[in-house]
Amino acid sequence: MAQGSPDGHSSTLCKYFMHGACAKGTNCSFSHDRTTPPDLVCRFYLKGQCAYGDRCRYDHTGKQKSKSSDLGKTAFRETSSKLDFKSTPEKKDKGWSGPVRTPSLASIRDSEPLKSNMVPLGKEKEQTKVSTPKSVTKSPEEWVKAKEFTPGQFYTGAVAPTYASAVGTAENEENEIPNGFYAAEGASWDGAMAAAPLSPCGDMSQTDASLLCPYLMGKGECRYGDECGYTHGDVCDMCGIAILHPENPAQREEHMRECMEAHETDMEHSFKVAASREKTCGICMDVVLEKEPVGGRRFGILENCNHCFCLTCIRQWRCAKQFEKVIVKACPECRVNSNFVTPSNLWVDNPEEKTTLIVTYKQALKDKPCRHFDQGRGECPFNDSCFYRHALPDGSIAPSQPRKPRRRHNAEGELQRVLGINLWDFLESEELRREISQIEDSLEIMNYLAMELFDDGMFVIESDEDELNDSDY
Amino acid sequence: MANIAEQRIRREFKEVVKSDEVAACNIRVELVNDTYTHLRGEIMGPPDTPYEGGRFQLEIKIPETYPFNPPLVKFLTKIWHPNISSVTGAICLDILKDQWAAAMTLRTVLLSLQALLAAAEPDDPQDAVVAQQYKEHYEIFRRTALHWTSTFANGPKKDKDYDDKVTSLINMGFEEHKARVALSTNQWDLTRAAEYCLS
Repeated sequence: MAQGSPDGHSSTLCKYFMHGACAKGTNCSFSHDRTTPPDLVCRFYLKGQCAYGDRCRYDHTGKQKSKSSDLGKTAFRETSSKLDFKSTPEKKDKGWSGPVRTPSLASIRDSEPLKSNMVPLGKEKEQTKVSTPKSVTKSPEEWVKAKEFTPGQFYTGAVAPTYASAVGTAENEENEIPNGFYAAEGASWDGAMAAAPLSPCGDMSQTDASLLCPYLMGKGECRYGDECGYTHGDVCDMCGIAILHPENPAQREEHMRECMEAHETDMEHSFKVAASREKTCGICMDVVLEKEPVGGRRFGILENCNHCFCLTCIRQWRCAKQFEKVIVKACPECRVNSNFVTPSNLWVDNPEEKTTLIVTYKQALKDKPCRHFDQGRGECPFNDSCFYRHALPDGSIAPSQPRKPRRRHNAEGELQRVLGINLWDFLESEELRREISQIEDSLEIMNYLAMELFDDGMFVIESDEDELNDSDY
Repeated sequence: MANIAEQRIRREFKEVVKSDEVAACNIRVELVNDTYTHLRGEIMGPPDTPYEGGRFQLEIKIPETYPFNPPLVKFLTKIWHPNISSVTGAICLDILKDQWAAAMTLRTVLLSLQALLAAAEPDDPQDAVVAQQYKEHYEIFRRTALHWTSTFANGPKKDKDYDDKVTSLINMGFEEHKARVALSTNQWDLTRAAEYCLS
């Protein structure tokens, strides 16, 4: 992959440098020049065995690495990974009809080879005007093609595209603010900053005064001050980002509302975390959220009582073989039986939240194939009540099998649970028995006829000998 | 020792030490070695029982699978109780066997044992001889238990009659503990006890 270049560095952009975190510095064998294309071709794809298929985040483009395509992707990848800002669903109810989507990746690829990450953005703007309205796609297959960070993610800060949309609503007629205030859309702040020396503040000819300055928003400062070609937004009190457009009340209002909502969600979350922090597991007696390793910091919520355990402990207890089922399937504290444990990252004891959690959990399990059922090849002991998916190889859900556990008394009068016995098994053996008895019957008749051939006296003597036995019947 | 077992025992140890019961001198736990696998417990005989005032030593062994398996507990102090073997000190208590729950602790176990002393279960005995005596001659059982408590657990109340009987058997040349067991088993009948010792 690392091809030599005159300066001793590879002509491939260092992946760590790309994200601003290369520890090797000047000793790195990969290029630290942002104009060099990064190698984003999927190595597994080249081997012909990428498990992600269409959903792979890397390029599935064979061996030709088009420069622009790579850069376009870099820009996108950086955006999605670094722009950890809030993305909100598009506000259709605002009366804004066509989502103003940023251009597709193709449009970036088509653009000329880039000098800096800033340049294509100007291009994007123009492309956007002609881009076809397209609703937000949330499916995992589509997200890689999406220009902006996909909605549905948890709030982590303020973001660009949605406000862009909001503004699009407000100033649609003017057709002056096509795509957003955020000139750096499609490129990371870091990328933008790094590129700045190469083309000061992007290309001034392509800047739009109505766009908010990306430097001020991203880094909190803009080196160009008043001379900046972009608008310097007012700082939002809630999120501390210079994101409020001074001349666009709709955008300001929208942002304030979203910021408030996000703040409330954050608060709720913090309360839950605070409530969970002190909780200790009744089995290992550790504070659940401080357990090592980090993977063990999960609660196992019991269905029918509110005693707190960590997931690993309660699962281990419920699997204990040395005790009877009735003991281990009960809560170790109160001995109330629960049929299953629901994993949760936070402690839940409010009945409503618990119900929601359990429903969500069951729903999530329904999408996973059952290991016992194994696409119809195996047999699931839980049958219809199994939480997992009983799908056949063609994807259809298997019809339920009426296989209920039966109970019967055995010879000692004890009650037994009988599994895996079907009526059909009996019918088959009954049929077999009947066939055999028919053969036996016909043999008997033949015997009888043979007997008839003998004289009566002999027959009588024989029956006398059997008298004692006959009386038993 | 599994990590979880040791960590838990450390915590429980602190819990017991701080608990109100220790303050009231009802229960106590101490370490035998540094590994937390072997502990020494002590419970006070509950009031209004023949065990009142006695201090009973317990041996507590923590299995590696603790708390998913119960600790192994037995009496070191000899005790006359239907659910505790007078010979080995083995305890018949459901929570130390099949009714164990992972959320139980040393403290709850010791308190349960104290409760067992107060409420014997002669129908589910560990020591059949004691259980039979408990059911058929309760008064003799009570006095025997009291005698054992005063002899082995520093109980405050003495039963002079029983002490004398033991002494007389010792004077006949029998070993003290053997004499005591023989008398306890034979409803304190000297002749039968002597025969028992000789058989």
